[in-house]
Amino acid sequence: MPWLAGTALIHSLAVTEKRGLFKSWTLLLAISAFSLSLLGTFLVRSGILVSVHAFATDPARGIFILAFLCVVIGGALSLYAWRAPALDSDAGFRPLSRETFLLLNNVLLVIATALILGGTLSPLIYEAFDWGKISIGPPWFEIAFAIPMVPLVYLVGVGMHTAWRQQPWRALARQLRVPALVAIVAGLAVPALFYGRMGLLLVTGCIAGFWLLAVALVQPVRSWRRSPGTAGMTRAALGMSIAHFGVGLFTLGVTIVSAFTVEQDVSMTPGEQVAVAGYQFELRELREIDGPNYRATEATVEVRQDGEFVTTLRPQKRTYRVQQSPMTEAGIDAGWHRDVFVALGDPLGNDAWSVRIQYKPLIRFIWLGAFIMALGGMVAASDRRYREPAAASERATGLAGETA
Amino acid sequence: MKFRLSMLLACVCLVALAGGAHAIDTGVAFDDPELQARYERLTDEVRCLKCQNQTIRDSNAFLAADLRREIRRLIAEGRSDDEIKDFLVARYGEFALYRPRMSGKTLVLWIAPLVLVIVGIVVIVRVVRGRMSMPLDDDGQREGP
Amino acid sequence: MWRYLLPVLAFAALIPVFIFGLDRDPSELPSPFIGKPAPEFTLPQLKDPSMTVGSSDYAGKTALVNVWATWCVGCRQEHGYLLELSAAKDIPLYGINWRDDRNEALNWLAQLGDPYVASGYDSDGRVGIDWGVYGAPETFLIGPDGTVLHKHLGPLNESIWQRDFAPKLAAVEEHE
Repeated sequence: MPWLAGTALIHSLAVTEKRGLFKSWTLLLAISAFSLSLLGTFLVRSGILVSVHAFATDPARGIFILAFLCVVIGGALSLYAWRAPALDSDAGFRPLSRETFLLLNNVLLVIATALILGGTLSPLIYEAFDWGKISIGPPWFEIAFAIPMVPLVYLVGVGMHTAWRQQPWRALARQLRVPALVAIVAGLAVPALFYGRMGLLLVTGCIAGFWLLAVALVQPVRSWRRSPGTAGMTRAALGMSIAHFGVGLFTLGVTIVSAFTVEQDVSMTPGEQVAVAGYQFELRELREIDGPNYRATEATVEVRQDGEFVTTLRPQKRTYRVQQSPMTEAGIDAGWHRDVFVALGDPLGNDAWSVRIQYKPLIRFIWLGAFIMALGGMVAASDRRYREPAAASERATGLAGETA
Repeated sequence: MKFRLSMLLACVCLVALAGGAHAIDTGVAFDDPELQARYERLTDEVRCLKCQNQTIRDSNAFLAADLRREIRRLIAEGRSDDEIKDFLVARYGEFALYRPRMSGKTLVLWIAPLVLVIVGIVVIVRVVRGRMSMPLDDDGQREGP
Repeated sequence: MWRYLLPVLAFAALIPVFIFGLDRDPSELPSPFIGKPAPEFTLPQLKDPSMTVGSSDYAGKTALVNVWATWCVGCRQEHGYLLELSAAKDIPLYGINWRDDRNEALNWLAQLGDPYVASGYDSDGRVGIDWGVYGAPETFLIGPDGTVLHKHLGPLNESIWQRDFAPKLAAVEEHE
């Protein structure tokens, strides 16, 4: 939630910085981003929610955190209610403009944040009003989150090429023609040719991912091909393109992994071979090993693809001596285009074990995409306009004058 | 601090989760791929009542194994997915299902996204309409990206 | 103008919800059987597998059904109280030995005492699932008409008895 609010914040700041607009949005988003991280602390430490993230929960501590929340969040929001109305300014913009797209950005990210917050708190709210104990989990969150986020991903591509104040739509369409075509072709071809399947959500996600990749390259490519003497891209603009390229990778990763992940539970004995997702897995041997604070059964699994050796994985089933609890160490072969995962389950008798095998295509794109988003942010933050002292003081007086 | 059985259970589950532990049945449950798919889908949508943030497909708790066994039995008996869900809800309440079913109570949850989107559209339309008629020229701020 | 107040009002509305939440256990499940007929069951007796024990044994009477196991720490904690309970009150206490080892359960009762009229041996947990059991110990109060009056999750003690069970019992006795 703080991440979503923070993303909306940095984009809303662009409008505030450029045109002095959306000031109350920017303020509220800044307050929200911090408040949501405080709220997160409260939720996991107070014991009011069932969560894997909850630890050392203590209602007594929870009361103190809640009191802290009241002071900080209540104070900030009250101040906002009191002073924000004075922030309006008179600048305008036409319907097709960067301001409109950033407004859309704000609204859609706020919707996503509100849905996650509502979903997380709804079991608590239902119980408080005695409406019974309800259940909410990944099935609901995935659908609810996709509803604002899928349109957002598509709009990012358009908005980043839209001018401030007003944008002639023909020029925009001309710029976006080629990326749109690339996106549609790639978005249809990749699932069909590389993974052998199509589907509405799958294609929507793939087209969205390729759309962002293509659209993020438009400005850098144009800047690279410009005639010498014309201005290149600012770091801020380059950072934006890099970051949005990262979002495209992330989107592709999520879409492909959700659609094509293969998970199978099989029973295996040493010497046995199974085929999963085009790979052959052979359980060579099982042996007992002694670790520093555990005993383990380790399996040696050879992985092949079309007969060619890929790797040897060694999943373990450990029993830690002190807790006497079983833990699984998976064997993972990571690659840019897929992860292969093997884990031991339970011994089935007669030297047979249940084994879980997973094939996760493009899952590393999720991490890579996030890393590139961060890189884009750092490039943008290193833009000259944040480092020039004279310009900085001009900016300060400019903004101060606005808030009167 | 009052005694919480839940905390004891949570500890067990956390320890199991931390190691990426997965519960695995004794081999594949059904030879028929359609039944197997139904079984996997159902077990993915039922909450483990002991380790409450895991599905019974993933949980190592014995209760999860018991529930998986019951679901296998019910599928083998020819019950429909709805009947199986009713069986679980009758015993554990709606909380047993990860995906809340449509009912008066949970309607709010399912229409909330759409309601928010409509509110969002209204907000956007109002702001854009308001700003359309305002002057484009202003005493320009810094050059943004 | 008023829209600037929305955020702080929304936050203020959440505060009482949070305060409410601090006082309860979020993983506790209300039993869907409260006010409904208790599930019927028949199990082989723990002590004598050739005999059975089940819901027919207490039909028409007020009864307590306690789900227990030797691996359950809370059951050990409440065992002393259960012995007192079965001695002092004249409500029959039936046990369901849940997912346990028969020999260990018999040893446990021999060593610590047996508060139960009889315990059923639920080795595969099927009856536990039918009763919506998800953790031990669980104690059900069944009315004479067979409806579940109350379910308690966790070890039983005198203050919980007085707070939750006694009022329900009093209500039953009034009706009789």
